Amino acid sequence: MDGMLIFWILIVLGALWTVIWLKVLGSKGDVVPYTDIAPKVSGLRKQLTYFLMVVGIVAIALAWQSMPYAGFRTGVLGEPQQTIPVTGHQWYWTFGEENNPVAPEIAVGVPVAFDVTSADVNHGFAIYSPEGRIVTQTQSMPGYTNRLIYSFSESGTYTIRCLELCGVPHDVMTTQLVVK
Amino acid sequence: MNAETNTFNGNNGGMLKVSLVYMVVGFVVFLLMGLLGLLMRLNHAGIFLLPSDWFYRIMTLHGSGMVAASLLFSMGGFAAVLSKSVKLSPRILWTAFFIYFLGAGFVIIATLIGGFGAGWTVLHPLPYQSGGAWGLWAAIAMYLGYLFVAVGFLLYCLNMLYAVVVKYGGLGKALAWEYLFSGGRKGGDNLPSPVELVAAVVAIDGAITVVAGAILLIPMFANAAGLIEVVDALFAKNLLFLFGHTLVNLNIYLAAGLVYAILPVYTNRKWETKWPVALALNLVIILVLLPYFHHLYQDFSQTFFLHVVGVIGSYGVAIPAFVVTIIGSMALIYRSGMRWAVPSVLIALGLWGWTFGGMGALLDSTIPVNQVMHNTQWVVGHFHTYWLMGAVAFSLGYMYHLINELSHSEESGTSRMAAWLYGLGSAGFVLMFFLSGANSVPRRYATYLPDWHTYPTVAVVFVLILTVGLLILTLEMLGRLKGAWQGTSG
Ligand code: HEM
Ligand SMILES: [Cu+2]
Ligand SMILES: [Cu+2]
Repeated sequence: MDGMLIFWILIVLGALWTVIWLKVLGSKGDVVPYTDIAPKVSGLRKQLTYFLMVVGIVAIALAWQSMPYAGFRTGVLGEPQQTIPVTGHQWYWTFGEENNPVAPEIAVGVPVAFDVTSADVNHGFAIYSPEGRIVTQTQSMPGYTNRLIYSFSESGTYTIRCLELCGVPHDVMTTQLVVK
Repeated sequence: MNAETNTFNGNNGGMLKVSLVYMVVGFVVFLLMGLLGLLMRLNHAGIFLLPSDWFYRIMTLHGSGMVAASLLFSMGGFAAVLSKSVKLSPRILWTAFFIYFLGAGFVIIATLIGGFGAGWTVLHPLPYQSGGAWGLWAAIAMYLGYLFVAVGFLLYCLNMLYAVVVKYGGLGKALAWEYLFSGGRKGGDNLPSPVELVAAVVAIDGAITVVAGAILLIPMFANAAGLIEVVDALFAKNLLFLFGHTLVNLNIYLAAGLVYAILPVYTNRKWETKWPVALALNLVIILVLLPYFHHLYQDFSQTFFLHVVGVIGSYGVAIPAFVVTIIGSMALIYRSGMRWAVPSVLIALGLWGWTFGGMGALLDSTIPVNQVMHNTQWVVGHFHTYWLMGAVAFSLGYMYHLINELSHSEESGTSRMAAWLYGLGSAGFVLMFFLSGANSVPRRYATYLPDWHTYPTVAVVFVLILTVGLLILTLEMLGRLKGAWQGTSG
């Protein structure tokens, strides 16, 4: 999902909304009694309710295709070929088991599973592309392991950023991930 | 203005005094917290750098202080409106005010003296494991602050609920159930007004919210005392957002209740309890409790079903609010010959902004979108829109209206200009949050990459515009406050 696409959707919706408002406000001078308006409003309300419900259902159906959860991602990308345990600590990341660290290196185009947990407080495990955009993320929580499956389509050096406030050095809790 | 539109009905003067104090204090705290907000944006822009620990202390104070201020602001306005038709107790509301204020004091001590900087969401276990930045006592002070604020709010809610239930002779009647379930055929003769319905709904949800907060605080305090070793992080997060998310939503409903009260004055049309209004507000009682699950979409360990509830709840709660309150308000304005005045400008801005913020929220409530927007500035964008261009705009509009009405003052073209400036500044300011979120700029980062400096720099310009607007309105109201106070005695 591209963030800027979402931004433009918001801007288009906002512009439409503004046009509607300008119409409503611009109608001020042309006064009619409310009894002329009220019956139309109740019809409009019904139509809008149905319309919004349909939009909601369509949105859910579309979203279903790209759920981030492990079962869905496996369905789309296939079984992960590589599993990397990830642990968030105040304020650094470790990869691999405690006594068996691994290097954060990943093959391009292959589904990989990150098993993300935390050794202390909540952290956020977000992978930023070399261009600086979030490609995927999950929470890193004490007592739980969140399985994040992803397949990198481009090689390069990705940056892991902590996205959950985890103390004063939260914003420097970064590390790199090499995809080749 | 005729007696019908007047808030003062001859015997609610005592209540109006309390309301004015709530509103003035809420508004002043809002201004102060706004300065802290500006400070954070200046820091992000690289213009005035804050040390990281101070950034988080300020951020935490700004967040919790704003939530409390904006809530108090709308509580005051709403109580004034409600006191016109039901009997509230000034004594209880004064008590609630002092408890609330005590809570605010604890939050100030926790952040400014104790160094507490875990954010307004106090996500467990960070408050107890700061890695040396603040001590346990600061976290406890923060929780005590929340406890007092919640108890103050609870008192307020119970007083409202009691008042409307007494007036209509039962909870079912105060919620227009007979009318609702008969499809509008029965029980239409003694219906609660929209404002009274909102009062009952907010009071019920307010009480539920406070209970959720209390359920969370018990293990928190037990944990601090060493009685239990760990509190489950996912459990804590669920309760926390049930409390926090719902509380801030109720703030918007209270503020929207003010729209019901003042639009009729400026449009010369009546807001009546029609069947859709009764249905919508009754649905809100349940629906407002569900969207909080959208805060946990990226907690993959949460049961999938609850993620789906989050989506349906987030979409679902938007429908009654939009179709009934917003469309209803627009219908009231449409071809009404609405008088342009500061309150009507602020309400139009608020209705626009509430919806625009809602669009940003709905997009982000869609799980694949949230996958790339969660904990970015997008989130901060949507809630600042809700607040600045929604809840605060409504409350400010109402306060301005009330002060002018009580002090028999007139407004000028300059004041209307100031209200528009406030809108323009707010819109540009929040747009920069949305844009930076779309570009993956994280929220809650004390230090920014050089690439990210442009957004906050532009935002600062808009904050200054907003400030000019606010300043003009503030000075004007300040000059009339004394007259307004005297006006509460008839
Ligand atoms: C007056 C203009 C305002 C400015 C300049 C401002 C600025 C900011 C900034 C820069 C942040 C930090 C964003 C980040 O990097 O995470 C922030 C956070 C926040 N603001 Fe505002 N804000 C304003 C008004 C408001 C209002 C009216 C409210 C609510 C009534 C509010 C509630 C919050 C909350 C809840 C947070 C989140 C704090 C946290 O993450 O713990 N702000 N604001
Ligand atoms: Cu972290
Ligand atoms: Cu962090």
